[in-house]
Amino acid sequence: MEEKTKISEIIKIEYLTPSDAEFSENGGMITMKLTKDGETKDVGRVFLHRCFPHETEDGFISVLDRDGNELGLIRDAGDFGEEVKALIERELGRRYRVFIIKKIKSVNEKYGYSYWKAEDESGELEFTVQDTYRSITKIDDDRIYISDIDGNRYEIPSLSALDRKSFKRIELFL
Amino acid sequence: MIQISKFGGHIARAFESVGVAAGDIEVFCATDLDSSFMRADTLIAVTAEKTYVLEGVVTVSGRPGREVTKEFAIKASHEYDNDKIKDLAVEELVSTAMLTCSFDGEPKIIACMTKNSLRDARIFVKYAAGPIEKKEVKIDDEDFKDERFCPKCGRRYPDPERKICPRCMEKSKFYKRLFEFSKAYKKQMLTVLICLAALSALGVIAPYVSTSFFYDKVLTPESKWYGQLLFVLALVVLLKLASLLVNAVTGIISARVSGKVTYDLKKTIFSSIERLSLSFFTARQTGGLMNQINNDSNTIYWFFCMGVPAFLKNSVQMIAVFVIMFIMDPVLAAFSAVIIPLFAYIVYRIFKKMTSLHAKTYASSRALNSALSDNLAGFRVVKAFSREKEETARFDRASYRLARDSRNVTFFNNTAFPFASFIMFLSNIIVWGVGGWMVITGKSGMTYGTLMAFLAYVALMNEPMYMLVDMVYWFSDCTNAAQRLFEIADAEPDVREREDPVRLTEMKGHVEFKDVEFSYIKGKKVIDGVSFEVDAGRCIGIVGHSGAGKSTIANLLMRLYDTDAGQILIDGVNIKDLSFDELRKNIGIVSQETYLFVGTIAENIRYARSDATFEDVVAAAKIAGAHEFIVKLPDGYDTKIGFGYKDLSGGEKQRISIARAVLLDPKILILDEATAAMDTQTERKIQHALRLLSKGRTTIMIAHRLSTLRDADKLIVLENGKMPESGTHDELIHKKGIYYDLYRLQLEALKNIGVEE
Repeated sequence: MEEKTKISEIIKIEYLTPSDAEFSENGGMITMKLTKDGETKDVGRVFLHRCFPHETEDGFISVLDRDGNELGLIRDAGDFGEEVKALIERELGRRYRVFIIKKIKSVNEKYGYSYWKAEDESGELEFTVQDTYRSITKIDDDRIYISDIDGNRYEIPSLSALDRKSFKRIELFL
Repeated sequence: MIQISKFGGHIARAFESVGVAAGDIEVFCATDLDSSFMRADTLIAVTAEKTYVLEGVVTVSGRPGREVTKEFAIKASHEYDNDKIKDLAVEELVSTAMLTCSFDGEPKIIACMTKNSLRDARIFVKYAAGPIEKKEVKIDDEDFKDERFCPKCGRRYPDPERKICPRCMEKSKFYKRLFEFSKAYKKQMLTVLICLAALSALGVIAPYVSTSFFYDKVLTPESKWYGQLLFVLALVVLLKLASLLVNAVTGIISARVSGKVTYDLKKTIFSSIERLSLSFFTARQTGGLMNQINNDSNTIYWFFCMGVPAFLKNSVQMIAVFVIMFIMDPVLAAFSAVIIPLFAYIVYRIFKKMTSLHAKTYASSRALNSALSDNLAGFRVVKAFSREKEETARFDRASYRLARDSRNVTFFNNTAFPFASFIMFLSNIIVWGVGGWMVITGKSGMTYGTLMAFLAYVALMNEPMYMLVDMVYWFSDCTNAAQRLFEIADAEPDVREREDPVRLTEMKGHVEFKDVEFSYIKGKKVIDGVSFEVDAGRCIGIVGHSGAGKSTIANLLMRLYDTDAGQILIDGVNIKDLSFDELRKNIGIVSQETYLFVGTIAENIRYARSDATFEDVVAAAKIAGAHEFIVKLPDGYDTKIGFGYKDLSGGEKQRISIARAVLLDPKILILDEATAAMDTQTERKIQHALRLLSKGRTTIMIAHRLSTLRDADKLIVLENGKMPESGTHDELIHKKGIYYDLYRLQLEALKNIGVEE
């Protein structure tokens, strides 16, 4: 019987490696030179998207060009050395920047909206949420994010790490 | 200066400190993050020559409420020569956004922001093009009509679509309106109220007869009523009977009016909703709307037909009881008046906890239900991947949670309720003790009978007390529901019919788009300067990648939305001047999203024209290629379809929706990926029928598969909302542009799988 083909043979995922992809900083943004078939091309600014933003932070990063075409995947940012890794991390940090909520000071529900007062790393913040139940997304049992009416996200990395009062305030919406 | 964000004295001073006079600033905008994405204030000013960016924080000094001085403390500043800036754009990230450009050939981040500043930044990009690209930008007043803020307090509306500021909502006006609304039901409410008043009167008299009167008059030898046992018994029985009778009458009346009131309410809400434009629905979740129609009408009904009368009844009863108690013994009455509410408050606190426990149980029961329905709906998939064990575990988790929460509720019920009743009992005991002491010492002439009556009245107070506490919640629920109802009733449709619309004697079907611009979200153009013309009876094909704006063209032509700029003309008349009826009767659409209503297949086809004959229906189905499968169904055209009935395949549904459009017999036919969900054989068949159908009709065909469009008289290519190419198939192939590339790619793909077109 013929041996079945593995899916990895049917489609080849193009991983970028330090030998074919050279990342550098340009004007505060990340740019890339790509070597393909012995030819090096400056693709200019690239856009990094995590494939699994909630599961792995530094792995499986899709590298896209200006038009949104995927140039390849980074399997692990660490493969590119500390300097480039820091560059990649900064770029990803920007894209996935969310406000981390440390404390919930109050949640008031009125006319179908809830008004939140909370604290993040740089102090107090206020936001408004529509349809509260649906606007809270559970990443796992302990980690959630809240989306407000403008589309901003506020993450609570660990519900169990919240103080008792804060937890009580959000508990009803979970 | 074009001020997109608020420009104050402190901002002017900050710019002056870096050598920029406020008078030189042409466009100004502020964002809310610094370049390291931390919350801060970033100011952007464009002068004729340069663009300045200041990062820092606004500090406020002085006492709040009095005169305050604001200062902008600059932490970093940058300046850019305008002639080196290119491609100024807003890039949206996951939860934030950046204003970027290419500066001197290098990519550059100008400013960062949360999504709160997104709108301002997009408008900034539009107007900054004036000084940066040295071109004239026409000022659109709409851009500066920032309707996100409450004009009264300046706070943001929670939802820009719903211009309601919870802080400034005119409460008195709102209640007045609520009252006006209830006027329609005043007869019913009055009847119920009278009944309830009678009930409470009877309730108040009864204890007096059975206690005070009985002990102090009938059983006391000195009284003139002494020994009138039969009389008092008859009186008690009579009172009981009367109260039963009134109770029954109240029940019957409420049951009769309840149906009507809920019906009326739902009708009001539903007809208000149907009146609105499509954009109202896209801004809201449909689930929320369904909830709204069902729950809100119930809530309002309960409040007005049950809540208000019950509230009045209880208030009257409480006052009456207190008055009687005061007449009987002012000292003991005053004492009860303090002690009972106090204890009621303690009980209320206990019950507040109950509410939160119930809410939790409700949430877990919802989670369990969704796990269950998810699982049952996907049962085939579960089996196919043999994931029964995992699914059971998932179900188990949700089930455990519900069990745990229900247990907590039961536990609480079994401890808190007895405790609460014990507390209420304690308050009675205190009255009892004080009253007993008064009887024993003979102070203030307290008799045994009066004390018994007193205790009966104290018991009568308990119920209304709970009820009044509940009323607070009930009232806030009702105000929410009524608020939503008024909001829908007040909402103005975006797309409005002209008051005296133009009537075309007969629509020919000449369609023209003139420099049409449109965006679903402000600043994000979906259609940007599109112009084309289709002669009556001709066919035009629209080509483009998904998301290029093809379906939007159809939405605009149907006037589901209005254009932001430019015009759409049918037979030379702006569609904004045509009546909805005429417009929609003459335009038939078969779209990629087919929706069939619950009902028979025939009813669904007749949706286009309810007076269609059997012959018409069959003919339309035959053209759409639906007849063949319909006749094979046991119930033929009378097969019930839709939610909960016969499940049709995607292709079958599509064919019914084509039949529906065919039956309408429109002058203009829009086929928006009409055959996308079909197999090739069926598609060929239908294509043929559609080709026959489109003869003599203006047809707008939107398709992915270019082969579908080969017969079009003209093709237009859409890309990112713009129209870079148009012409016949041959012309476009010759041009070797986007169309040529698309065509070549599709042809190759087909060749690869062995299909020759």
